[in-house]
Amino acid sequence: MILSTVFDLFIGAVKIAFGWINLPSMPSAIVSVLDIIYNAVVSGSALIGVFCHISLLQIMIPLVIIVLNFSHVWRLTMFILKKIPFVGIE
Amino acid sequence: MLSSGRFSAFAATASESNATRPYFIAGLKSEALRSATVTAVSNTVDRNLILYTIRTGTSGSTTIASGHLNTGGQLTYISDTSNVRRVTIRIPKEALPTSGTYYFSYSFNSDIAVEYSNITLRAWKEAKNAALGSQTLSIAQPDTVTNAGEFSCGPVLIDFRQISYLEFILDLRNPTNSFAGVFGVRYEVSANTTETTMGFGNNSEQSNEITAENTAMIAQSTQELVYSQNETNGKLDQIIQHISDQLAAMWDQIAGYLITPWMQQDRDLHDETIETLEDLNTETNTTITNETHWHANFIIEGLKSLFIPSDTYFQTTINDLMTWFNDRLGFLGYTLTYLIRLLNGILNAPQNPVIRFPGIHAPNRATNEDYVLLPAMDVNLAEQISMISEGSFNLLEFLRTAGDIVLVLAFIVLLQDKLHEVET
Repeated sequence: MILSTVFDLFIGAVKIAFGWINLPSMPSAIVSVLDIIYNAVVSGSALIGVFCHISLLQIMIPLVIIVLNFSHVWRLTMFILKKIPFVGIE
Repeated sequence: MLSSGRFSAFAATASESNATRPYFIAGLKSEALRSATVTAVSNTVDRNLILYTIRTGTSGSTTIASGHLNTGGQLTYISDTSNVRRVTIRIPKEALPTSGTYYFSYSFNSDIAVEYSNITLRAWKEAKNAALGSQTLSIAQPDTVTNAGEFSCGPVLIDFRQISYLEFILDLRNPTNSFAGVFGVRYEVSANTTETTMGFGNNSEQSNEITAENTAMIAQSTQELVYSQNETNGKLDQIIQHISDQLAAMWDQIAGYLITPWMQQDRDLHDETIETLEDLNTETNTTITNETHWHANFIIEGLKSLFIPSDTYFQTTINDLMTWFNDRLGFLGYTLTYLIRLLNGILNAPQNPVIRFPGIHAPNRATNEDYVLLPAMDVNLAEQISMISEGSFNLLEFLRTAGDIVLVLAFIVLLQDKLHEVET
């Protein structure tokens, strides 16, 4: 509930910050080309499966993201824990 | 034993002084014989019980008539041809007094003037052992007064202790066609028991024989009694044992009826109680476990719900945010859209490396159907690599294992670098 509240507050802030933006949508021709490119990239990413197990990759990617952004994750975690009175973290 | 000098062996003869009495006439009917002139005799017994027998023959051995006296003691026999030689009168045990000493007297008033060659009184004793039969007791013959067929005696003292019946034997001096008269006997209780009684034992030899016989009988009876007693004791033991067994069986049966259902009921109650307690214990344990689990789950779920959003929260939030960005950012939103699609593609990538080739098409404006220069196809790299592998060597697995090792080592290096970064 706390995390969801924080995320909701964050998303609300984002919506307030970017709510005034109203850009035109992407033309369909460009979207079609981008889809072809995306499909080609995704299909080509299957080559990764030749050199490592996909299951290991699915575990490593979140961990790498967390480790690379450790300072931000740490601050976010401590920020949340400090909001809990009975935890006693100052 | 003789009671007085009046008694002696006798042979009486009818007296002529009785000529005034109506003498018997051959062919006279019995009704005429029962005349009132025959005087009644003294009597104290039931004379219907007294038997008489009329005998004939030279020695009086042939019985020609027999019967009981009537109530008045009348004895009547009339015949035209038979010659009466002997008349016996038997007083049975039923007509004798109880055991003891009595004054005994008898008398017979005859209708016919006859003479007796001998009048004998015999006392008989019936042996208890039927095989021994009856025995004649020695008894002194009382003085009997006779007169023209009449005779009488007494009173004399007689000890009746062993006498079963008395019998008078009247032997007639001259055979006669008929015989009739009134007979009676009388007993009177003797007050003086010291008075000498007429009875047994006047003959010492007979007395000794009787004593020896009695002793033998007593010994035999005693032996029989002992045998009977032993047999009775044996039967009593058997009966007592049988009763004891029956009582034991009865008690066992009663105990079976009473205790067995009680034990069965107690056992059933015990089993039911144990089963109930076990069920209650199981139910209590289940309840405690469920409550504990519920409270633990409640706390854990509460903490989880406190910190961790629901499973669909992120998906729903991201979809909403993507929709919002697409609406607001327009073409710029496609960057984020493709980034998320790329991440989803990686997370949902198939385990086998399969390259999907979309094919090459060329537009045909004439028919509006594209030319298919190269058709779409899926290239399974795992199968292709396996085809080039030789023997048991799996090239694909080797490449994957080596790549995993490199990734893990690179991640460790990353962690180490991050640790150094945090420390500094």
